[in-house]
Amino acid sequence: MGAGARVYGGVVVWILAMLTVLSVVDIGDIRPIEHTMFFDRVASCAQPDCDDPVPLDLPFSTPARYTPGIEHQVLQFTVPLDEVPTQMQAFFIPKYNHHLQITVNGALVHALPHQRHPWMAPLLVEVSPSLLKLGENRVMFDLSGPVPGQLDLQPFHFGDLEMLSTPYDTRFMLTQGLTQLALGLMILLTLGYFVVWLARTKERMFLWIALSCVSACGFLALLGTHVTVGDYQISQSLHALFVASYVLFMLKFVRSFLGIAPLRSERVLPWLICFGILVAFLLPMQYVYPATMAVNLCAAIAGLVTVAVMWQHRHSVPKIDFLIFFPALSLALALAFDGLFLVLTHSQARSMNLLHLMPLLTALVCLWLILSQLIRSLSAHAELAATLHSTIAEKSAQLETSFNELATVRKTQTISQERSRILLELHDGVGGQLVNTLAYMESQSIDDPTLRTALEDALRDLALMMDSIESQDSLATLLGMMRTRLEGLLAKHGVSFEWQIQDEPLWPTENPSDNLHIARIVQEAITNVIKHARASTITVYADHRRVAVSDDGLGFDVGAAQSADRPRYGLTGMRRRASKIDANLSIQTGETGTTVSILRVET
Amino acid sequence: MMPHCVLIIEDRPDIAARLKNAVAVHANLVVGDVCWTLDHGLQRLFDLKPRVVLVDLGLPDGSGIEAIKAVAAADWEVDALVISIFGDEARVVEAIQAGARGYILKGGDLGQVGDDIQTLIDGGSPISPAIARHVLNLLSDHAGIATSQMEMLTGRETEILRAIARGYKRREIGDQLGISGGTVGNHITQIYRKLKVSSNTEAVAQAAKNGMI
Repeated sequence: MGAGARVYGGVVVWILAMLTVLSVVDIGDIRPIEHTMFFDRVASCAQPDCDDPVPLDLPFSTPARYTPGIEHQVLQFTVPLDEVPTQMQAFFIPKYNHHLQITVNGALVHALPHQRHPWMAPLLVEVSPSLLKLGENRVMFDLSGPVPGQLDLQPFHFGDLEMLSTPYDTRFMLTQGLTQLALGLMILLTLGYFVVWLARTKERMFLWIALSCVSACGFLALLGTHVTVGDYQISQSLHALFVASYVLFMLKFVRSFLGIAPLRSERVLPWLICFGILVAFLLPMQYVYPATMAVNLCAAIAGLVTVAVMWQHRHSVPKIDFLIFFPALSLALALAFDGLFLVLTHSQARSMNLLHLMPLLTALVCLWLILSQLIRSLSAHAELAATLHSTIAEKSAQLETSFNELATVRKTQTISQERSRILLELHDGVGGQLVNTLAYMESQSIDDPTLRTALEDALRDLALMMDSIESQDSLATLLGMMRTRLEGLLAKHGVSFEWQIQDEPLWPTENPSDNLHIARIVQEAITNVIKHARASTITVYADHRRVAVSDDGLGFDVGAAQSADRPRYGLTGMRRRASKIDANLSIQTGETGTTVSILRVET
Repeated sequence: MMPHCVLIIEDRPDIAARLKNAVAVHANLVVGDVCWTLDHGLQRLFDLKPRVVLVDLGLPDGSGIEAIKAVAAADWEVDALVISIFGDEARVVEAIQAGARGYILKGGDLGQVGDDIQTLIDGGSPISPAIARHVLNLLSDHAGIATSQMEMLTGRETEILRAIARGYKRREIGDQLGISGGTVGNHITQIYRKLKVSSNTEAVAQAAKNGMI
C-alpha cells in the first residue's frame, strides 16, 4: 500500500509540475501588439446611456447567476485618434463570453448573433474609417449572456485590420481551428477503431479507445461548434459526462493495452459519474455546478489512476513507447486539470482555454502506441515468416536428400538382389552341371584329359565371372581374386606368379565393365603363357595407368598369331577389348619372354 | 596327434561332397559329420564338440549366422569358417560380427579348404582379396561410421588389408613388411577381432543390411 501511495503521490506531484509549466508558458497570453492600441481598462456603465461609468480593469468576469433571463454588462471606453485613418480599422477581442454588441460613435458595428457564439473563438470586428473622427471616439461594448451568466472579457486590441488579422488568425487556429481539427480527427478515429474492433472483437482495447473517441467527439462538438444543445443544464451535464467518460474509457484502454485485470476504480467511478449526472439533470439549476464538479473530480481521479497505472507497468511496454506515451498522457491530464481549475475557480488567470488540446494529444499518442504495436507485430510476423521459410527450405532439402538416399538404396538393393540372383543361377545352374559332369566322369571312370581340362577350365572361368560380378568396382581386387583362382592351375604346370600390383589402376571412365575387359585381357594373357610359353614365372604388374603380364618363356610370332586363318592366342579378342576401353594394347615378345601391356590413353 | 574334428553344415549335396573330400584328404583333419539343416547342425555341434565348423549362410531352416553365434558362445575351443556363394559386404560384416574367423567363397577352389582350415587352427584367419576389399570399403567409404572404424585399425593392419585385397599372399606381405607370414596372419586375426567387438561394426552391419552401404 505504501508503494501504491508513493506512486500516486509521485503522479500528483508530477502533474502539478506540468501544471506549473503550463501556467508559466501561458499559451495564448494576451499582450500589446505593435502599432495597435491595447485596452486593459474600460468603464462599466450601470445604465445603457452610461451616465455614471465606473472604471474596470480587464480581464473581468461576473459570477454565476441562475435567475432566468439575459444578463447584460455595458462597458464604455474611448479610442483617441490623432488623425482619421484611411485604412480599414478593427477590434480584435481574443476572448470573451458570451455575446458582444459593439457601437462606435453610436453606429452599430457588431450586432448580437442569433445563435450562441463558440466560446473559445476570438472575435475580429471591422470598423470603417468613415465612422471614426479626429479626437475621442466613443465605443460601447454590450456584453450579455444567458444563464449562468459568467460574462467574461479579456484585454483587447484596436488598430489597422491588416495589423490585427494575423494575430486573430493565429489565435483562431489555436482555439477554434484546433478544436475542429480534433473533432474531425476523432470522428475518423472513432470509425477506424470501431472497424478494427469489429474485426478483432476479442481485443477490447480497440473498443475502449473507440468509445473514448466517441466521448471526445461529444465534448469537442460542444466546444467547437455553434450548436447549443438544450439549455444550460443539459449542455453542462453533457459536457461533464463526455469528459468523464472520455477519461474513463482512456483508463480502460491503457489498462487493456497493458494487459492487466480490470481495476476497482473502473467499477466504482462509472456509478459515481452516472449519479452525478443524474443529480445535475434532476435537481434545480443551481445544483448543476456542484454536481458537474463532482463528476469532473471523478474524471480527475480516473486520469490520475491512468497515469499511475502506466507508470507502474512501464516495463511491460517498449521503452520508446513509454517515453512517448507517458509524458503525453501526463500532459493531457495536466491540460484537463488546467480546464478543471479554470471552471472551479472562475478564474481568468488563463487567457486561453486548453481543454480541446487534451483529446488531440491523447489521440495522437494512442495512435502512435497502436501503430508501434502493429509495426512490431508486423516485423515479428515477417521474422516468423522468414524463419518458417528457411525451415521449410531446410526440411525440403532434407526430404530431398532422404528421397535421393532412398532411391539410391532401392537401386542398390535391386542391383544387389539381381547380382545375387545371377550368382546363384551361375553357381547352381551352370556350375552345378559342370560339377555333376565331372563327378559323372569320375564315377564312370571316363578318362578323357581333354574333356576333363575343358570342364575344369569352364568351372574356373565361371568362378572368374562370379568374381567379376562381385568385385567389379576394383580392378586390383579382381586381379587378386583371379590369382587365387589360377594359382592351382599354375602350380600344376610348374609356373608361379610374381605379383606386382602397385596401385589401383585408374581408367578414364569409371565404368565397372572396363575393369572386366582388362581382367579378361589379363586372364587371356596368363592362359596363353600357361598353354604356349613354357615359362616358369608370370609377372602381373599394375600401377595407376598400366597393367602388364610378362613371362620368361619362349615368345611367339605376333604376325602369325594374328593372321586371320590361324587365330591363336586370342590376340584379336584382346585388341578388341582394349579398343573398347580406349587403351593401348602392346605385345613385346622375344626369346627371353613376352610382355603384354595395357596402357591407359592419356586424355 | 589326434586329427582335428570338422563339422560341415551345408545344404547343397555337391558342395558338401566336395568339402568333405577336401577335408578328408588333409592328414590333420577328420570330418565329424555333414549336416544339411541348421537345426541338425546345431544339434551335432554340441554332440561332436568339433574344432572347426564349416558353415553355409543360406540354410533351408535358417541362417548360418545362428550357427556362428553358437560356435562363438561355445565353451570349448572351436572356430567357424563361412562358405558362401555370396561375398557381399552385408553378409561379410554380419558373419564377422557373429564371430566367424574366416570367409570362403563357394565359387573358389574348394580344394584349398583343407589348407584354410589348417591356417585357422594355427591362429590365422583365411581371407580372400574380395573380402578384404569389402572390409576396406566398410572402413573408408562411409563417412561418420567409417572414420571411427578407420581409427580402430592400426596403420599396419590397414596396410595388410590393402595388400590382401590386391591379391598378395601372406608370405609376400611378410617379405614386404619385413615380418613373418605368421605375424601377418596374427594381424588379420586381430582385424577380425576388432571388427567383431567394435560396436560400430554393428552400425555398419545394420547399414549394410539396410542397403545404405
